[in-house]
Amino acid sequence: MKTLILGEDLVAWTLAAALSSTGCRVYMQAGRLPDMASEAVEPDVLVLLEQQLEAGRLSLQAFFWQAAEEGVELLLDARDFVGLDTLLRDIKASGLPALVALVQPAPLGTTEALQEELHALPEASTEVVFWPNFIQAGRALESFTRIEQLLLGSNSEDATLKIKRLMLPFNRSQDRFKVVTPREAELTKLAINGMLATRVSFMNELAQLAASHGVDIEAVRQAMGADTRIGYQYLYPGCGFGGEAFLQTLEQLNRELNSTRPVTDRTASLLGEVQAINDQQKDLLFQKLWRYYRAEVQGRRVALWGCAFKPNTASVSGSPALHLIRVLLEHQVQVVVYDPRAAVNLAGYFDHPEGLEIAESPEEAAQGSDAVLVVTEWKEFWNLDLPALRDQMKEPLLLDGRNIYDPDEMAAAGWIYSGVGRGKVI
Amino acid sequence: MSQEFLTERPAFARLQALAGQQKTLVNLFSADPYRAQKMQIAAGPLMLDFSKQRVDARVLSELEKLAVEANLPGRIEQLFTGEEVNTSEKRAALHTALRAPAYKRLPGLEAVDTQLDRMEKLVNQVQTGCWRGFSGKKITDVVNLGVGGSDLGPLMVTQALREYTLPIAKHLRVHFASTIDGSQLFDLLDYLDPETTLFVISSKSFTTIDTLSNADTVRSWLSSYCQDRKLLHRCHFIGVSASKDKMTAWGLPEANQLYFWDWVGGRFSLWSTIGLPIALSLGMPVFRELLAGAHALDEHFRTAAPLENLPMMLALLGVWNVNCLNIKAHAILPYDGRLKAFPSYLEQLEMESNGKSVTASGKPLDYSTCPVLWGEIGANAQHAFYQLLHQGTQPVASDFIVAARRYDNACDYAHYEELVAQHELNLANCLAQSRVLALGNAAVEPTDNPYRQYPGNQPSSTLLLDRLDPTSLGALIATYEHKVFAQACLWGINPFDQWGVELGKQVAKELQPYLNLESSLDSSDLDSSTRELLQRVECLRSASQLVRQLDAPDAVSQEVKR
Repeated sequence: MKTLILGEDLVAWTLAAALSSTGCRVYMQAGRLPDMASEAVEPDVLVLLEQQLEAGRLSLQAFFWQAAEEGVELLLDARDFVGLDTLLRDIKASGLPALVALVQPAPLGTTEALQEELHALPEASTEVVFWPNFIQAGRALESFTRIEQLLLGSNSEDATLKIKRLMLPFNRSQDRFKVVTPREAELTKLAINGMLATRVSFMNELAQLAASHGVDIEAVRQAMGADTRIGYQYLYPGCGFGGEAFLQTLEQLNRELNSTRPVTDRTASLLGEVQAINDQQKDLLFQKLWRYYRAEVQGRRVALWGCAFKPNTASVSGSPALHLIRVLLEHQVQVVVYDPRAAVNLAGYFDHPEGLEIAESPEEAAQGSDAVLVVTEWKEFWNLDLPALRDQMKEPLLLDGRNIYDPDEMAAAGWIYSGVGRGKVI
Repeated sequence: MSQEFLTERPAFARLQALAGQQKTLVNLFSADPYRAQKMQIAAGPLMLDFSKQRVDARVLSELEKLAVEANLPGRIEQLFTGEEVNTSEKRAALHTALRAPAYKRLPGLEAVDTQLDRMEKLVNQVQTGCWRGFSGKKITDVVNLGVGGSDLGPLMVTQALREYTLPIAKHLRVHFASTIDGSQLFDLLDYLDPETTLFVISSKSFTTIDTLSNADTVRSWLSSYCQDRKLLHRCHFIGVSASKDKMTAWGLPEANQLYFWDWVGGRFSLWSTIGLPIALSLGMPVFRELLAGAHALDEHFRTAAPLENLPMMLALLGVWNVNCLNIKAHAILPYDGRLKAFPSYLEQLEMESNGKSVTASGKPLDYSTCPVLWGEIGANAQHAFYQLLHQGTQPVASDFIVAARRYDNACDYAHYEELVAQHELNLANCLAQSRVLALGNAAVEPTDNPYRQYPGNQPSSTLLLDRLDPTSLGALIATYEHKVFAQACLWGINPFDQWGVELGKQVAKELQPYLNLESSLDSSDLDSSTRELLQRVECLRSASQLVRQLDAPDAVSQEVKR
């Protein structure tokens, strides 16, 4: 199927790689493939993209008029919601393809509103569906090609069949399609993220309570997760969740929920509180540093282990690290960041990175510092030689935002160790 | 210095003669259909209509001469150039210098900009969340501890301009606690979070007992959450004062001190770092607009001729009403809910400044000075004390204050039309009341019902603002400040001291030990009223203390053991 994919982020590139690899003729507007270090690709996605480009199934730098001339049948909009008018204009410019799929979260009712506008055009027979993507950073390609559930919001049988046909290569073993109305799909996408965020924030609130009662939240988490009604997913307390898509949907759902509330009352909702707790968690490691040093933080040196919003991604967007670095710099704290992949992408967020250094290894970052802040749980941090590293520190303080170390072992190794809801209460 | 007495000025004698021949307002209006066009003054965003004052061309001409005889232009120059206009305390009164733009700053006053810049930095730190409490959390609430000029001005401006709050300031809640009995704090501390509340201690001398006792209560409250006093001082207190040493002695680190100076009177101080709560609550740019609005009015006051000078006209009309027409009450009636605190602000500004009975050089006066001044939101006062204005036995002069435009920025609201209708209703009430006060029965169909007779002839001025915003509010406040100064010059008094409030403070200090239940001081030297009241209070308090002790089982058992 001739497909035009709009957008230049990880979702767009993953869709392009996966669909062209099944024989689709894919057009993208970007001038070239992203760099290896870019947040918009992951290694396997990039390899696949290069192969498709070579095979001629992927065309870059495709203008709308070219897509129209080529007779594109499917338009996948993977951009952040651009507004109805822009969407309509772009669809027309692409020669009114037979099928348009919106894959990013959009305000409730967008799909139907767009469909109405298109039906009103005399010459158009374009169908619009809402096809929410569940592509996860860190395992983007896998999360698309081995998807557990395919959710599709469609009012047209013809359109549903086309998407099913498109996904058949990835959906052979059993029919995982769940077809609902576009509006239901729009809300489902928001609701799933809202639910996950609520679980995490709930755990963070519990962690605070656990800490103040000398209870180890890790033991509580394991016991809770064993209850099959609850399960283990998204029960990790920590220094805040991130990810652009995740935060955006959350914000949008909060907006939808609060659209009829007075402005002053907007934080009083459950989801408002979920976000407020997450903001507090993102600030937590700084607050601990502040308390430990009794507000005397100026001029200190702090190592950040990890700045990606989660392991295995180069993306820092929405990461607690961005917040922490900004706050630390504001207080004239010298920050040394180590991240195996994402450190290069900090440059896009900090104009004058005076006081901000990038280290080549976690050990180098920790060298001579007043504290180590663990922000991302990269696998390479789990089994470092921490007893040896202790002596390199100016003060052996480790603030673990991801609970990857054992409090007793750390204490035995001479560290002052504080996790989220476990270890020393600071 | 025979010239210092109002009653010795030639123009005053002529004014008194004119007062005897005055026509009623009904007659004045019917005599000249163009009266209102002739009796108005514009100054920037303000317009004064004084046609409902009981004056005519002859009176105005004599008032102009009075202004010249009292050398008002010269006195204004002295005020602005920093001469020692506060004679009893031997200081200048340079509040106007606080709001001049930096490039016009008087030589030697560069510290004004230094302090404004330091204030701006602190405001930014708090608003952006950079400022942290003892536990590292961001500040969510600020409480201003101050009284008098360190309370009324910032409170009034903060309330009046709330709708202009900049986005950066929106999440911060600013509260005010002033009362010596701790009542406001008692309520606030009930729900404020000690980790995220910052206290501003505002006191020119940093010895004001009302404020410092509130500050001590707060510090004790915080200490139950954090024992590290140095950390508390650093993270939860900012001091604003003219006394650096006293702030340091209280424990405030230098970085948390903002200064102003001897030559800023308390009731004229909202333009200085005392305005910190305004900037925190609304945003520093809003505070600077307020200063600019006041400065523009300063220039008007300094340059306009007496009969085209808005503050000077208010001053002259006030003297005419008090000293020639014998009107000793003055009502302040803003027709605007945002100006709720404006009357109490003016009560201090006018009555503390001009409630004097000796001349600047200390000679006793034999004529009236500041009238009793009070007020309320006009439309609310209509349901309270307007009855007295319309049919009571006291002559009262009034200032009506109202903005022509309102809700311009609310046109997207679904209830916009209703809001505008309310504004029109409010304007109609404002205009109706000044009309009826002036004209009485003549404004309505005649009736012979004795209860529905309205004598009218109560004079008033109307101050019309284009709209209420930082600029126009700055100008409005400066207008009254200058009216007060000009009036003081006419009366020959010093508006910048306040010796009258000292004695009460001193006696309170003497009485305080009598109220300690442990003490058994001999009160026989006191007057019988005070003695009786002290005894009665002691009785009631001791009884309740005993009940409390009996209620606590530990206390009882200890009592029994003893």
